[in-house]
Amino acid sequence: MATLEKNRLVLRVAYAGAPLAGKTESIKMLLRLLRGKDGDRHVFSPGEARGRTIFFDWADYEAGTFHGNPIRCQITSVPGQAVLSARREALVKAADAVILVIDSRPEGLEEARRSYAEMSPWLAEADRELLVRVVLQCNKQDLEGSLPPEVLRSKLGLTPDRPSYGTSATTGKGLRPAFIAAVREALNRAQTLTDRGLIRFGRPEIDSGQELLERLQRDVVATEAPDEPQRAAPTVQGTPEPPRAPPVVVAPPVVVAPPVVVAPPVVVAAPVVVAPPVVVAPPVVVAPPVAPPRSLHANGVGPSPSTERSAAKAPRPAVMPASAWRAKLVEETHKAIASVVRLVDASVRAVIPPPSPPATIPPGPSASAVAPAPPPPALATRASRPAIMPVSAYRAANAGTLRAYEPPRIAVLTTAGIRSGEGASPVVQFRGAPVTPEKLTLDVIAASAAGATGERVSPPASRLKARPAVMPALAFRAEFGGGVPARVVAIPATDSTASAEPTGDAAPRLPAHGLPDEQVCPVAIWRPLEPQMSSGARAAADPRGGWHGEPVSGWYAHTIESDVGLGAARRLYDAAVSRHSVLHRYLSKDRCLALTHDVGRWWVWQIVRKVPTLSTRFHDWPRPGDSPEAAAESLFDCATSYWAALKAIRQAPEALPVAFEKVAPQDGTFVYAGLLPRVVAPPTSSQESDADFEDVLRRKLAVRPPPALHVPAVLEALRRQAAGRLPDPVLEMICSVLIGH
Amino acid sequence: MDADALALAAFLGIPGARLAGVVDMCTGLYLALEVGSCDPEEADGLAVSVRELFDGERAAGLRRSYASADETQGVQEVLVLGEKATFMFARVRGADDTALAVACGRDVNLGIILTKTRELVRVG
Repeated sequence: MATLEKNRLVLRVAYAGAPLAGKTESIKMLLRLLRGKDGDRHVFSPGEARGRTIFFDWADYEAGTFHGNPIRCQITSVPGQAVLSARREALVKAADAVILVIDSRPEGLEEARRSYAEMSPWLAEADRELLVRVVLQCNKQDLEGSLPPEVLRSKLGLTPDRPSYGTSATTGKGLRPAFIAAVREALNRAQTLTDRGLIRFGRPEIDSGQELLERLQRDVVATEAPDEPQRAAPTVQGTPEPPRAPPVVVAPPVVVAPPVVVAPPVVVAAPVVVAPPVVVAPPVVVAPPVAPPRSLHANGVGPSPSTERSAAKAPRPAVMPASAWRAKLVEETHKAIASVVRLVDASVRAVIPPPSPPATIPPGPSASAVAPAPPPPALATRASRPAIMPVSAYRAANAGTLRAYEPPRIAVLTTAGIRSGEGASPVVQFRGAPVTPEKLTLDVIAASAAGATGERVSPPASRLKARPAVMPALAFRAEFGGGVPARVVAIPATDSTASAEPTGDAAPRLPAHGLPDEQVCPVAIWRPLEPQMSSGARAAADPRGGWHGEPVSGWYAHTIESDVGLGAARRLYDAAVSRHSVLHRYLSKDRCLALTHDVGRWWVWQIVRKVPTLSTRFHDWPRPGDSPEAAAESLFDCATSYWAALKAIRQAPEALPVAFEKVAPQDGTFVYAGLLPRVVAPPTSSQESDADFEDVLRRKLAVRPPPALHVPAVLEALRRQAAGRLPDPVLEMICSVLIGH
Repeated sequence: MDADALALAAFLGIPGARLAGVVDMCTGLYLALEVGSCDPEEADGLAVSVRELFDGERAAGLRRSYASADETQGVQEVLVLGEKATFMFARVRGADDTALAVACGRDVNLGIILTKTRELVRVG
């Protein structure tokens, strides 16, 4: 699995495939190409017997760059012999990309099929969401009778978008491009892992061929029958074995001494930070105290982002883009909040006493006795941070205004239960700035930063109230949380009496200036948009569910969720913010989220700007005066754009529906420009995508038949233009649709 | 022209060329490399430089300065005059994710390098 080791990305590329297809030869020749004539000396091949790989081949190669940092490729091959499938499985599953080496001659096809069929479930199992991609290397192209890569790809049933290369391991032709294609796939996977915060940090789990050998012997070989490798060599699926080595003595596989000390896998906590101990306020609510931070880690939650940022030991890895880092922080924070809140909720429900003044609570100033909180600073005085401005520079430039927003150094978690002033004074344990219970219903569980004194006091006035009106806690922490030694979580109580969304006349007003308690993210988009909005417009019911409308010309608003309780609505809103943060690279830029209150409910909205999509580009095709060349060019452009969009958006961590009317060009790539679906859609297969394109084309021609279009000429022009640039089945599909009309 | 042919054509066609390679912009690795008798490992750094120059984050400001209003990239060819060698980097037309890198001796005629490289990347 891809690992970020200091300033270096470590990837694993595995050569797999049928026996005698040329995996080892490919690696050796590749190393000669990459590292010079003697490059194959760097290949570590333990236990080679009669020229057959018993364990694997291993080579290291450091070159290339990923976000300005070097890439180290661990190149491995797998044993091809049928009986060594356990070893193959372990090696394939550990790879970031796999090069499937096949014999290009017709007689090698059956073996190739078998090999691919064997490997497919392993790849799927390696990581269900982040499939390890396969690059097809059609080897032995220099031999007579070899089939071209396209034919082999289709015979293996691989999709046209799967990269395939014709190679010759003896001459070295094609080996570099195939290897680089695999590195590309591995980098894509690493990028996705980084975006989702799943990438491993620190020393790679396996750092050398010797370590891999020890790991294989410990985990895999021990479970095999002891003589399997010896049996394996002569029984190679009936394939005649070429005289690779002089048949003098059959060397048994080298028996490597049992590993002396095998280091356990290095477990690297996501970004290396120790969370502050969560201290539970003893008196008020929690009978079984909230588990110390170990439980957070045990749940895979990780430390608070603000703590991470402030801790000098946990800087953002240099190889990780700031945007990905921020998104990761937001996601982790959300998970942490959700898990702690669940824990607290459960505890409170179990043990909460009736709301009478508990005798155990030490005296302290009641909430009502507290002086009123100072008014929050005007929002307009704080400019939002430009996208290209580093957070540190922004903080320095806005030190005066930002200070007012510095969150109190305390964590407050609230649940349903005792209301402020209803008998019990909310008690919090805190350190640093005060926190107010105003407008928060509190069964207070306070978690202080490291070094908390254990002091118990009633929370006096605070500036906490200022924050929710500005932006959601998650976004706030992600943007301004650095330097603050603890996190702030303020989640008002959930009203469990949520009812169904109102219908009929009770339509909510669209997000606009002046609605109460608005929260908007990101502010940078909302600010210029807000003054243009009319505050009286009501949304219309969407037959597909929810409410929608056009608050400003060119902007489309749609409800995501709603709830009668503010606490629940804020949680929904935070979830929406997290989702958008994770997906932001794949979404159009001009969009924001808003939380509004109307007709007795809280509404979470997504607001998206209408942008020209592929559908717009395709709208006026075919034009009456177009020559066949021009018509073919437009069609070709459209098809390539669609497949480029499909490729780009499929990399998103969540399956987004790719359709003509929802995909738009942006910054040289394609992004999803539609409303995010309420529920996560299952990923579409390539066949479905082809069908979608075909469907669009058929509808287009049905509505608007080609006016005096000379279809044969268009077809000819299309074939000429698209040759080698568009997958053959797609080209055939387009032609068949055109011929049909 | 495929990457191998392009690298070979540059190595043979540009007078004084000591190294010619086609660099993949995604990875900063050579798709094809001709180094004559040199060690290919020594050339790896050059591929990274080309990638950083044309597609990396460090040179983004430079590229932005020369981008046109419709975001068409202006930096297509870069000539670097080193102390011991002259380097020519050029994007390959019609294949945005590749670039040609050529290293020549210090005394080679710059006009010839430019002309020959342009000729190659246009057909490449």
